[in-house]
Amino acid sequence: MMLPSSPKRPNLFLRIPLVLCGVGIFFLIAQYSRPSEEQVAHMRLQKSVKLFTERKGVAVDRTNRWAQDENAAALGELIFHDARFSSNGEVSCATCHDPARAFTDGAKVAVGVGTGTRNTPTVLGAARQRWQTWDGRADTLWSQAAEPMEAGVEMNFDRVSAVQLVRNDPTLLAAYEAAFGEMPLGLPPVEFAERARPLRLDAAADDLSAAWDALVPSRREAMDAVFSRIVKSLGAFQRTLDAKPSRFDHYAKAIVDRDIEGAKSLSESEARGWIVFHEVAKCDQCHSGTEFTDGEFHNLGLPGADGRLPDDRGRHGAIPKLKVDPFSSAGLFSDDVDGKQATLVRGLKSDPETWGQMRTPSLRNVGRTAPYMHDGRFASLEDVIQFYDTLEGAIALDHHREAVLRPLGLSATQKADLIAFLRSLDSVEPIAAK
Amino acid sequence: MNRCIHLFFCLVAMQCLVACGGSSSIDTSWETAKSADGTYQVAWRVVGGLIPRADPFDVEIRILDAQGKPADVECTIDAEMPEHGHGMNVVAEMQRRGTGDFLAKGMLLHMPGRWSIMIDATHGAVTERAQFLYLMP
Ligand code: HEC
Ligand code: HEC
Repeated sequence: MMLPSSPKRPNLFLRIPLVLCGVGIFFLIAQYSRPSEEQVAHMRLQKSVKLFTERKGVAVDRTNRWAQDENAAALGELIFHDARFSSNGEVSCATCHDPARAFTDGAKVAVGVGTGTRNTPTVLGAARQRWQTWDGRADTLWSQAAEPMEAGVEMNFDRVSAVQLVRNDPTLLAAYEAAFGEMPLGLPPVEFAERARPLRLDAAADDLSAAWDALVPSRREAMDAVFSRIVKSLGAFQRTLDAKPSRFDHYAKAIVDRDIEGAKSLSESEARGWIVFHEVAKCDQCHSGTEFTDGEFHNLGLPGADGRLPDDRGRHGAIPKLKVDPFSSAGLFSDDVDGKQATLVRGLKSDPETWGQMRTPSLRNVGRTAPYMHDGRFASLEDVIQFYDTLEGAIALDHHREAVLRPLGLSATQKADLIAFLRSLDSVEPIAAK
Repeated sequence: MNRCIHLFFCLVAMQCLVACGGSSSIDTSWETAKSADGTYQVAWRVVGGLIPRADPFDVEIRILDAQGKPADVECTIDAEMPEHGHGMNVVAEMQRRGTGDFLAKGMLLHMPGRWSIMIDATHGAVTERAQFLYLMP
């Protein structure tokens, strides 16, 4: 290094000790400032859990102008629990999404007016999801609500009867008008005695769809307008059903704050379980972020009943529906057709790769939502972990199966720790018994 | 004395590097590369500066021709994970804002790992690709 200002350079004998001295100081400082192994581990842990201390509230839903309207939520709450919105008068949303069971039903597959093929997920925290249901065939919380109400095996109700019920019931009508103002039908309430609903994609035409087609377009439009508000009220209500903080969230905060007492909110086994989840099994390649989901779709290669390819098309069946759904974020009844969500819907690809893909479920409250997977095939978390550990029976779907999945070969302790960790994700506060 | 000062600055610099390594998203202000046959200079950056994990984002793209002028081309963008054998679940919506000036809306990289981002410039029947690697932490 040239030092132009120094007139005389120190001779070699002076420079060597100087350099040595410098190197010595460097190593001293380096040694002194190097953290111990334990400190390194703690710093790594802090970094890995920091995310959970930054969990925000439920994001604004611009596709539903009434998402945060209390009156709309109040109407939604009434409807959520009202079994009259079903063809046999016995099934409400709460039949399957039972508040006493963390808004699930505990059944392998859902049973409503008929028996379905999918397991009932919780609605706790659903407002945080980009796509609703296992295959994501609804892209907003409110549009999802239109599905079960009119699906044959769920509530088997219909659009005309739903509008009529709200219109004819004084309590429901008052709640509706408090939120949305006068019902814009201008028609006498008993006029539409006939049940009618639009034909769902992939469903067979029936009397109800024929009756819908027979309505004059202006009446269909009026029905759709009211029905869209009914489901938006269900969206507003379900927004209030968030997944509340878990013991793991408290632990994360304590770790970041270096609060030794607080860090005891997890047992040693639970805390080790996070390391297994995050570093060993790398479950958060898919179960990532504060909600433990990437919000997207994967095929785990779960075998069909006879060990062959499963019948459920999963994501592949959902995309065509989303593209034409008037209730999607990009559809006629959305209040944000130019938003991010609508852009995604328009950009969805219908690749063959999407066949059989299911949405990565959130793992919050997972201890309370057995049985597991889209078809409820696993009765316990032990069974789920056993699958991930060995991938036994998994179908090799060539490039279709996620290349990230490989047998883990965990020890018995690691499996127990992992399960203990998963159970620490249940919210601490009791779930609102609304 | 000078050496001590040097040492001090070295340590400070190292400290800064370590601190930077800790951030989970990488600033990708205008990445540039030549297209495969060297015809175009392709530059892109993320609106907002950062690629969020598993959340939608938009990308600005500028394409220059061999003379360094905005290229009169059509543009598409896609991303895939070479090791996983899959790509994005969506196609970005491409808006042309001017000659060689594009906005891709609705990109979504949903998994950690190596992503290959491919920007294609098409003039007539000829398409040239510029490729970028991005490591999602
Ligand atoms: C017969 C049982 C049943 C009834 C009744 C029912 N659901 Fe569901 N719910 C399910 C099942 C099963 C799924 C998953 C559907 C799928 O993936 O195809 C689901 C999914 C959902 C989801 C998406 C959650 C997620 O994590 O993706 C929401 C939100 C929801 N239902 C709300 C409602 C509302 C609101 C009602 C009443 C209008 C209702 N459900 C009625 C069984 C039911
Ligand atoms: C490749 C992405 C991916 C990885 C990696 C992954 N999962 Fe999953 N996980 C999913 C998907 C997708 C489902 C739903 C599958 C279905 O129903 O077909 C799921 C389902 C689950 C369920 C059932 C939840 C419910 O409500 O039914 C649990 C529990 C679970 N995973 C835990 C884990 C654990 C623990 C690991 C690490 C050992 C892990 N996952 C790794 C994508 C992944």
